[in-house]
Amino acid sequence: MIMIVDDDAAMAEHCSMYLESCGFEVEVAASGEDALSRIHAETTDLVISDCAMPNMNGLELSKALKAEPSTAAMPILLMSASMRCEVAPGLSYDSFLRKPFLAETLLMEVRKLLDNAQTKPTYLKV
Amino acid sequence: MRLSTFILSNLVDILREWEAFASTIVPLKEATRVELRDHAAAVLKVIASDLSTPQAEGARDAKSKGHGPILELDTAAETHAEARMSSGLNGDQVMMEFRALRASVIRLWALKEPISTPEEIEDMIRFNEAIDQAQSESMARYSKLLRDAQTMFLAILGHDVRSPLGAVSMGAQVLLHDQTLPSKVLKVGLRILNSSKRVDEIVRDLLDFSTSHLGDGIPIDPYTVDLSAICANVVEEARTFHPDRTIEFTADGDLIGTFDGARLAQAFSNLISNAIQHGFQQTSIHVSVHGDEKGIHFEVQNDGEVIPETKLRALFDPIKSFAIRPPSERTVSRVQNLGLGLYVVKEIVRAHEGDIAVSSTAEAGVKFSVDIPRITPQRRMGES
Repeated sequence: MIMIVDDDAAMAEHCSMYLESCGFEVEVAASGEDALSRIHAETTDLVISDCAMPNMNGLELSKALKAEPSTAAMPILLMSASMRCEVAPGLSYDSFLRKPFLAETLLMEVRKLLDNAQTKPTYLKV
Repeated sequence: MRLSTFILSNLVDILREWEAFASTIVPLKEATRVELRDHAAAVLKVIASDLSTPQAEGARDAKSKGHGPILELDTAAETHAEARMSSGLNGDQVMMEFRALRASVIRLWALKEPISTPEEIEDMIRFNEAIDQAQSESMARYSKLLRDAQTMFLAILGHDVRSPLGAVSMGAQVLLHDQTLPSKVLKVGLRILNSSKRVDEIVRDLLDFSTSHLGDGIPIDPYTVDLSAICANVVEEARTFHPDRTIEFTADGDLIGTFDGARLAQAFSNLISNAIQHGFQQTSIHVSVHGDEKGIHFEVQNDGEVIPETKLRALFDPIKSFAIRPPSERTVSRVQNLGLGLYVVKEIVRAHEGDIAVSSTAEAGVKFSVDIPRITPQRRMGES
């Protein structure tokens, strides 16, 4: 399952609709805290999170997931409308996309991250 | 009486005059006495101390040009600028305060006794130099704060525009991905996608233009990249957005090097967008990139109207480009494009220590050529 985290409901829903139409199972969370309570190593294969969110932002969510042994290997794709969030890649997330982006680019990144993940992906719907 | 002694023994009177003047400046009308006097006492004490120590001729010259000694800690004049900016004073008003301080001190000193001895005249010259120095420090800090605030403001504005644009763009792509939808819906979806891309480009170029015009140019962050893949992605993206246009692309030679990949992608994208926008609709756009041991050569060619020589010379400067238009062509309805994108291309190329050229003839069309040298990462990162 792919967890999309964004306080912009339209963005989260559009990303979710696109990835679902590509065959992925997707869930949406409206905040970092909501996502953190619903992300589990057994069920979540990838996290796609916006950077700028009130309270827990994308980087903090990413740090929390990387600090927890059970989710440390979970790939994280951050997205942001800012030009400069992409500095220091690899620090606590795995990839970055600047909004707006092409849906194909999102798909490519998702496939790359899932293929690189150590655990066997369970993301594809049968 | 020497001026340094006068300042220290009449500080209260001088500050009272300063206070009376400062309270006439609109943003400070409601200010408290402490706020009004602010750092004037500290500035005057520094000046008095300076006046009582001998000064070399070189130091005088430097001070009069605002190039006094650089201290690690903030000077009183710099701290004053920060406080006044917080109070809402503009740059002119901060300058006015220093002019008033200068006038108050000289007037009160002259009232006390005539300024006549060579030492007193020397004191007056040195006092003026010290006020000039304090004023320069204050204005330099004020300008820096303003520049930092503007840069931050523009970054936030960019973020606030791009966020909803991301949702609009992705929404359009969801529609385009569903080929079962009627062709009319798909056509509208493509237009929404193209328009959102255009808005994104305009916002990005406007932010780059504004921040680079504030003095620092466009910053680059070089690392090892494959420009062949980067160019191919840019061309592929342009084809996706403009399926009705033919874009021919060739890449050869060694295209791996130390460059800011994201910034060069932006430059290539702007040049291709320019060709799409201004080239003849029915003809192909030719994009090529070639790499050798000296550097990278990138070219975009399109058939289009011949650009007159005067216009060609100002093509990378949007302000000049706008200024050379006849007055009748300077209205919003006449100006379709400010040309910010080409300015940004020039700045990105310049940041890579490269060159850009443009030619336009009826036979060869319009051709932009970019040469980027191979330079060691150390030099680019400013580490050598």
